[in-house]
Amino acid sequence: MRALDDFSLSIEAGEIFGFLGPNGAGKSTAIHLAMGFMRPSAGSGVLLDKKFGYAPARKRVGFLAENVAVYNRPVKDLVRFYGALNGMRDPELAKRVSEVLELLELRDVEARKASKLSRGMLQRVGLAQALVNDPELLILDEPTSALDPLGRVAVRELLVRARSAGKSVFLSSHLLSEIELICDRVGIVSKGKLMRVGKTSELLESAEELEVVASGVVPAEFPVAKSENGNLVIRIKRAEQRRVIEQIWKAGGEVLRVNPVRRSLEELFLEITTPVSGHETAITSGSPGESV
Amino acid sequence: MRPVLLIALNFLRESRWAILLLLLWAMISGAAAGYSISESQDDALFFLKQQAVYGVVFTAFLASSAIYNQRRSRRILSVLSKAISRAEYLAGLEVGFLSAAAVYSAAVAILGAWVFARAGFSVSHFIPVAIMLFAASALAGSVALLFSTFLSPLFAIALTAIVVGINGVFVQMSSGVLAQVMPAYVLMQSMLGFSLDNWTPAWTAAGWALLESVAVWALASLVFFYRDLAVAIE
Repeated sequence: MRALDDFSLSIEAGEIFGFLGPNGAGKSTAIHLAMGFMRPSAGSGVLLDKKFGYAPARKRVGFLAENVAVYNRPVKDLVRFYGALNGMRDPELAKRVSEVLELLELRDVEARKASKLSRGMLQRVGLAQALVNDPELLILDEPTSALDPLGRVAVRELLVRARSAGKSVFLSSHLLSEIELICDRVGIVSKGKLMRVGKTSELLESAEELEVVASGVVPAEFPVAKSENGNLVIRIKRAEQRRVIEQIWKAGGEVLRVNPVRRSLEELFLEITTPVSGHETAITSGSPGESV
Repeated sequence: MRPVLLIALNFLRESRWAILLLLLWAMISGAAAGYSISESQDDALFFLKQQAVYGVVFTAFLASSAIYNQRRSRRILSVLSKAISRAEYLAGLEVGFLSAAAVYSAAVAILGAWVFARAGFSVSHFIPVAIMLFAASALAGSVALLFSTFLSPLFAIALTAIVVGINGVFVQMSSGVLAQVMPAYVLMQSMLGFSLDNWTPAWTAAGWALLESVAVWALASLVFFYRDLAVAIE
């Protein structure tokens, strides 16, 4: 059985890329390949212009694994240790440690040992070790799964700020609302195949259905329409667009907007990952290999 | 070099209780031997040799479980996600258990000097034993580390015992170069034959053991380079 098959993906500089998939789809495998923890049986990839597994390239990467596992020592020492492993030295290291502890609101627990922290605080420590080297690329596997709502908002803001600073973020998460909120592009993987990849807005817009918003027409003339703020919202197939618009005009109404129907990411995710008639069809595929 | 030292220090920190326990055991049994020297010098010598054998076995155990523990706890991922090659990582572990072996070897020499002080022997008499012990520990630990890159600690330690023991067969076959292949047996024999009046250390074997430790580390790095590190979450 192949963990990843016919899998090709690239992340652009300065974007937040959301990586989605059901459990066992191959998300962590893809991340581990990129980080050099595993070697592909076939294919290849590059991380910041260097082949996967090239250690010096990881100096510019921040990585947070799913289920944070760190050494049992005081938080501040721990973050310092990981920074030093990346070749950082004082005074730059001390400055960065101080900054990330502040950023992730870990100041109050900086002297506390990792084993004494809650899961949420531990996840913050995991993020701190990933951010301490001020990375160009952040690879985060479920970074907010243990955080409270305030913590999630803080991390989202942090990621958006990172993007504004020109950094790239590769974000694997099951929290679809979070992905939908901040990701520029999304990739959905299922059973080791990349089923769909593209801009979040484009993926969420339906290619087949449109939403027509009209005013000045009687709802009875459009039985499938629903009323919203005094306007009529009609959901139609793309092929019916001309007919419906002409019908509105004939009825003396006015067309206010015609937009593609926007689904939620959850709807799209379920559509792609739920097997239909026992098989799925890859919509986007590339040549064998992985690239980040 | 700095990341290697950081990993070594981290390894020592993580293994500190096991190391301290062994040192404590050596000190307590050394104290007991110190009181018995007035009755029998042979008993005190036996104590010293026993501690030397413990040191080699302990280093092998320490090395064989180093990678396994890190993988099982998944802490290895946060370390190797930094700009550290796998060879550097193994070098860090190697320096870590070699440091533990060096401290233990020195402790055995100091204990020997303390036990035999009343008989007029100084620490310089025991330095060659400490060097033999260190070389044997380095070799056994390196071999255990090599096997632990692809085996569980139990199998790694079993294979280490076989590989190190094979040297005994080589010694029976030839006293030449073959006897210097994995010369842990030669070093152990040398340590077990230690006496205070007429003893020649196996310097050649010690030299070979240290050189072969480096070669085994290089081989371990090569094997480890191709190993998958990811483990299922327990």
